[in-house]
Amino acid sequence: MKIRKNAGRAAAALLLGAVLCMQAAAGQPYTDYEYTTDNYNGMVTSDKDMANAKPAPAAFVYEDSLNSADLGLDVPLNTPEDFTCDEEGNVYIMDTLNGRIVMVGSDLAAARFVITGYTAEGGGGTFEGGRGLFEREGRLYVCLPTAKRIVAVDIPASLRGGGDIAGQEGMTVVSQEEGRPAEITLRASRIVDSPDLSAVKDSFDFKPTKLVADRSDRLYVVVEGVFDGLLTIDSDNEFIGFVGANRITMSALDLLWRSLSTDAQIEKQEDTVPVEFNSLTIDSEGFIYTTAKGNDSENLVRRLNLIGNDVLVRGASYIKGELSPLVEEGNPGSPSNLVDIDVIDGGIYTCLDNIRGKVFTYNSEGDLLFVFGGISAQRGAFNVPTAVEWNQGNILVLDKGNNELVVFRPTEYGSAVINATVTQYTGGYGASWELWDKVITLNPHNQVAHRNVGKLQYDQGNYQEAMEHFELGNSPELYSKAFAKQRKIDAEKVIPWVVGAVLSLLGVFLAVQAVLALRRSRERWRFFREEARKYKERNRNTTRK
Amino acid sequence: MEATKAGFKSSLLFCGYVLRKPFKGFYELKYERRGTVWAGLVYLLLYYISAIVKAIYTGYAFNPDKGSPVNLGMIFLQSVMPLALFCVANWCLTLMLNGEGTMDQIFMGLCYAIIPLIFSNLLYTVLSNLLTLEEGMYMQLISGFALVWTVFMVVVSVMQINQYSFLRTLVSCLLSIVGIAIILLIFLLCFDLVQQMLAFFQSVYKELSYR
Repeated sequence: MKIRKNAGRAAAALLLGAVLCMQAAAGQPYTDYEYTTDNYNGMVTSDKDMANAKPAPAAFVYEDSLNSADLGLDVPLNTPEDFTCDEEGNVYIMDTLNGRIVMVGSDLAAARFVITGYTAEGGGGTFEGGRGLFEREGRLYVCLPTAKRIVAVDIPASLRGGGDIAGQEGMTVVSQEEGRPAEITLRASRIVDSPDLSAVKDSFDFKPTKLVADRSDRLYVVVEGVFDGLLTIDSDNEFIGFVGANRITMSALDLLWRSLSTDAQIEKQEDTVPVEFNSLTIDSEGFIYTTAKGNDSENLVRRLNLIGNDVLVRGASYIKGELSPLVEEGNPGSPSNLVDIDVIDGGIYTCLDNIRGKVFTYNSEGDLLFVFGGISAQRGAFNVPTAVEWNQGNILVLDKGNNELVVFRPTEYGSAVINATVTQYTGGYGASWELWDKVITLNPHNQVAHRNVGKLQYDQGNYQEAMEHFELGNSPELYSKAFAKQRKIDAEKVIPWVVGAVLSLLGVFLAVQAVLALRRSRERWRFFREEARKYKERNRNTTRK
Repeated sequence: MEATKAGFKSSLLFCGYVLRKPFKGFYELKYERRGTVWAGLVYLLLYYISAIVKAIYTGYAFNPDKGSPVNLGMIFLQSVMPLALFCVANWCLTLMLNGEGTMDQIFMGLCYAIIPLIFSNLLYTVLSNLLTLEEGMYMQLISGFALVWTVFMVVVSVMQINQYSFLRTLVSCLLSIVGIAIILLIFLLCFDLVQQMLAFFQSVYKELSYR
C-alpha cells in the first residue's frame, strides 16, 4: 500500500515536472490573456478591474524573425515603415530610409529581389521616404510623402511565382549577383500627383502616408495633416471627395463655453481638430477598416462602407486595444495607439498597438479573440512595431526599431479559434459546432466559444444546455431568451400537475362540504322530527285538557 | 397614564398594524409603547438577510455577476449603513428642531418602516428566477413601489415620533440627508488623518530601525 502511494507521488512529481518543462519550452516574454466582459464598463481605475483580463492559452507564438542578415541584404534595412503581402504570400517591405522595396518570397527566407526605384516618362525616382504599401492583383502602390506622390508598379507574375529575374516588360535589372538579391527598377504603371483640391481647401499639402485601392482602382488615401477623412481618388487620378471624416461632437457645455469666449480665444481653441487616421485596410467585400490616433477612444477602429458611414459591430466589448492602461507598467493611463490594422476573411481583424507592442485580434461581432506581443528585448517582443499583416495563416509584425520582420504562427488553440470563427462566418453554422467545442476544450474560459455553442444548442432546441453555455459565455440577454423557451417547456410539464392538484383539492373540498351538509341536514331533520314530536305531544296534551 | 411596554412577541406582530395604518401605528408605537427595539433589530436583520439573499439567489439574467463571491460587508454598507446613518443624523437634527423622539424610538420607527423592502427583496429574488429580461419591468415596478412605500413610511414615522407638522417633517428628512453627507465627510477626514498618522509613525519606526 505504501509503495503504491509513493509510486503515485512519484508519478505526480513526474507529471508536474513535465508540465513545468512544457511551460518553460513555450516560454514567452509576456502573458497571454483575454478580456472577459463581466463587470466591464470600460473604466479601468484599479487593479481589481485588471481581474477581468483572464489568463488564456497562447493563440499565436513566436516562430521566427527575419533581419537584414536573414534576408541576405548587404545594405541593412533602415527604419522600414510598412509592408504588405500579396495573394501568394510574398512580402514587400518598404525600406523607408534606404528608399527601396524588399521582396521576400512566400517561404519567408532570403529576399528575392529589391526594387530600388521606378521609371516613368517624366523621370523616375527612388522610393525615398516611402510610407504606406498596398498590393492588389500584382500592382504595388507606394505612398511617397516626400515626393508628394503615389506610385504604382506592376510586379510581373513570374517574379511573384519565384521565377527568374530577367527579360520582363518594363523592368530594368540594376545589378544581379550570385547569393544576393537582384536589384531592379520597374516602370511605374500609375503615378498620382497632388490632386486639385482648390474647390474644397485653401491650402493643401499632399503627403500620402497610407492607402488602399478598391476593385475599380479607386484610391483611399490617408494624408498627413488632413483631418477631413480619407482622400478619395478615382482611376483617372481625379479627386472625388473625403470619406469617413471623424466628426467633432460639441456638447451643450462646449457650445456655451464657445459663446462666452472671445474670437481670440476661439482662434486658440481651433487645436481641437478631429482625429487623424493612422492606417487603413480593405476587406474582400470592399469595406474599409481604419484606425485613428488617440483621444477618440470609443471609435479607434472603424469599418467604413462606400459612403463613409461607420458600420463596425462593436458588441459588448470595446474595440480600442488595451482595456487596462492604468495597470500597465511604464505606460500609466495612455490608451492604445493602434498604428496598423489588417483584415482577413471571416471578418477577423487584427490591430497593432505600438505603445505596448500588443497585437489585438477581433471577430466580426466585436469580441476580442486573443492578444499577444509586448515591448521588450526578448524574442517574440518588439522594439518599435509599425505594421501588422496576415500571411498564409501567420501574423507578421514589422519592427522598425529592430529592423526586422517577426513571424508568429498559430498554436493549436489559435488555429481552432480562427477556424471556428471563419467557418461560422462563412455560413458553416452547424460545422462550426465541433470547432467551437474544440476551442472550449482547449480554453474553457473562452466566452465567445460558449456563446456560439449556446446558439447552436438553442437552434437544436436544447435550451437547458444553451442556458448553461450562455451563462458561461456571459450573455444575460441570450440566457434570457433560452430561459423563456425552457420555461415554456417546463410550464407545459408542470401545468397538468398543477391543474390536477387544484382539481383534486377542489374535489376533496366539495366532498367534505357535501358530507358536512348531509350531516347537517340529517341533524336538522332529526331536530325537526323531534320538534314535531314534541309539538304533537304538546298538542295531544292540550287537547286532552 | 404611562402605557406598559409591549412584550417582544406582540411588538413583532405589531408590524402588520403599522403597515395597514402607518399614522396610527407609529403613534401607538411610541405613545402606547407597542414596539420594542429588539423587534426593530429583528426586522433590520431580516432586511440585511433579504439583501444577501437577493445578491446570491437573483437569477442570472438579472445578475450577471451571479456565482462570483458575495461581499457581506459591502452588502451591509449598502443596506444597513444608510439606515444607521439616517438614524443618527435624524436624531441629531430632532434634538435641534424640537423633536420629541428619542434615539431608540427613531430607530424603531425606521426599522418598522423598511418592512416593505424586505418583502420586495424576497419577491424580486423569486421573480428573477421566473421571468425573462423583457418581463423584468414588473420586478422594477414592484421594487419601485416598495421603495416609495418605504419612503412614505419613513416620513410618517419621523412625523409621528417627533410630532412634527408635515412640512417640518420634510425639511427634517432632507436635512438628515445633508447630515449623512456631513457625517461621511467627517468620517473620511478622520480616516485619512489616522491613516497619515499611522504612515508617519511607521516611517519613524522604519528610520529608527535602520539606525
